[in-house]
Amino acid sequence: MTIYGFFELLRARRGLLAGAVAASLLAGGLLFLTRPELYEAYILIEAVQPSAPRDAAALTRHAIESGSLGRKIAARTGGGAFRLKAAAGFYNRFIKIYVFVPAGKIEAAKTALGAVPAALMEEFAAEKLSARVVMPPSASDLPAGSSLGETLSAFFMLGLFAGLSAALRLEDRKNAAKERP
Amino acid sequence: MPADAPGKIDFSSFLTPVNAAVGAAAPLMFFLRGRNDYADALTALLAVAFAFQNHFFLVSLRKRHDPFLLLLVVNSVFFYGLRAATLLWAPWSAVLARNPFTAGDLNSGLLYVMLGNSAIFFAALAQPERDDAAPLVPPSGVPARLFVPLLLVLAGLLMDQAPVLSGRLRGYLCILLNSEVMLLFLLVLAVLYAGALSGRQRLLLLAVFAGFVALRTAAGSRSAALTLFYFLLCAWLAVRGRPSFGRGFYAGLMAAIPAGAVLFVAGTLARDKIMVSFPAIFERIGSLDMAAEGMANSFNYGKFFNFPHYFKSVVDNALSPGFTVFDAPKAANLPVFFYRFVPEPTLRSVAAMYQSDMVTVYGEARIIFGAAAGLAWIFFTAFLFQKLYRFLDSRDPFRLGALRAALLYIFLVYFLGSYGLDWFAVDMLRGAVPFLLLLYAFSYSASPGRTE
Repeated sequence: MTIYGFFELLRARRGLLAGAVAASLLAGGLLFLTRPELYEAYILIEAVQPSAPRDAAALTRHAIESGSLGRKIAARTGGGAFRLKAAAGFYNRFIKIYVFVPAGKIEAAKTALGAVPAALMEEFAAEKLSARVVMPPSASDLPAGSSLGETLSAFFMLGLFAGLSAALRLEDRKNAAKERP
Repeated sequence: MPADAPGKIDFSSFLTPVNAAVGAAAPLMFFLRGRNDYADALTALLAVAFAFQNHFFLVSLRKRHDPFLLLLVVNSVFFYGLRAATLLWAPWSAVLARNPFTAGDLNSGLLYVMLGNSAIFFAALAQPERDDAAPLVPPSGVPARLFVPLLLVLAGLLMDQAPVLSGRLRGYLCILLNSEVMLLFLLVLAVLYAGALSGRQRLLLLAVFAGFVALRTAAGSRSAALTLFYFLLCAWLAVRGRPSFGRGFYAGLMAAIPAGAVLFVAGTLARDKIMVSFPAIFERIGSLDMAAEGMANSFNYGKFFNFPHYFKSVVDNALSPGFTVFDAPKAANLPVFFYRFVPEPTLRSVAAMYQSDMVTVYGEARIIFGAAAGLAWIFFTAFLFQKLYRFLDSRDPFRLGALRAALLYIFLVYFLGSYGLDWFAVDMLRGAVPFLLLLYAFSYSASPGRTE
């Protein structure tokens, strides 16, 4: 295929391409309008395990992401269980524990996050893990997620390349049918 | 499935379901794990769009073969598409922890990679139709003589790994007997003469390739198997044109993926004496991190990824043997000094604190030229690669195959996986003369009865 062939394909299958792009943009717009607004709530802690300093972050991350700690915290605070996530810093020993929640659940999430250090120390008492708060539970002011422009750009690319793939396949089929005796 | 021989499967046909699986993995990971610090729903969607783009390229490859486009798809599927999925599964990245980085930055990066790939696609389309997929044919009735080439490769491998000599002399000999260049030539020979090789020759070749991987891994290299695969792919594309293999090869390739992970762990253990985790392996199989990080913090990276610095770096690293003029390390060696707040990066301090960052062509183009002009730069450079590939000619099929394979490898490693233009220039200045010497040494010793 040359540049000429490519533009010939665009011309021949313009209806299909326009339809694919329009459908994709429509889906993107609808998704953007109907998606829930989520805010990030987080706490920054430092976990130290004297016997195995390199393992503290991995231990914490596993306990947080397996969900077991979240359920214990929920039982302790009386709130719902949150799907907490943990990100260990590469250049320091800090661990960020975070969750994305709707505006109405920010305070409950902050309460749950505030209970994480104590729950961690209790969970890993045998390992003598200690956890200290570096930054108290906080929440972002702006909702997380992409802007309308970013969302539509992504959906545009999706529609365009899905349409182009389909157009090329249809052309192939058409040519194969022509060549058949 | 298109194939050039019965029982053979075209490589692009093999890539089609792999690309679809990688594209489907991202939304699946998002469904299972939800959003995180580095990736969100839009990342999953962009990964699907990216898979559609790769699919479109693969379908177009069936209409018109283009080795550069095939290499682009291989690189895109495994080092960008797959990385989007693995970041959704495990948001761990040493690169993305350097500066403030959000999921929006990753999405912008992925979007720019798609635009960059479109520019490379258009550079391929802009070439006149010509059948470059026609296989090169070895001189008829002349068997391949592998004794001298094998001896040279073994000497290069020994020079690399066993400190038989020390100091500057060893450094110069390593440049002259570049084991990677020789391995590529050996693979070109193997593919060119595949039908005429005796059983013993095949066995010897296999032993050399396995030895290369084993020696490199033992020395702490974590990508020896990948390098060998890249060489094989480039050699095959250069000699046979459209690559198609039997089912056994694809089965072996799939089996090589977990084997590659084991070698990665072994290489890390040999080098750093630590066991690596899965997220660290996933980060390594990903160029997206560095590309997106470079784009998101282009102001910081622009301090050393720029033409004035490239000039200084090339002068100090390639043109001033034994003395320095600017004391300027290569740009890719400098990010570590900035994010670890180490003052005064010098050539000597680079040796003490070695780290090189692959900024990729997308990151470099965006850092140096900005978004729109960066795309024009990517198009222009890809266009030059295409023109040069078509310009290459020789009556000796080995020489033509080797030159083509080298150009394809440069496209894959130095262009798509760019460490900065200065890195490329330094390697080319250092390696051009040894490359040509080895090319002629291989050519004369392997096929003395060639038709030239």
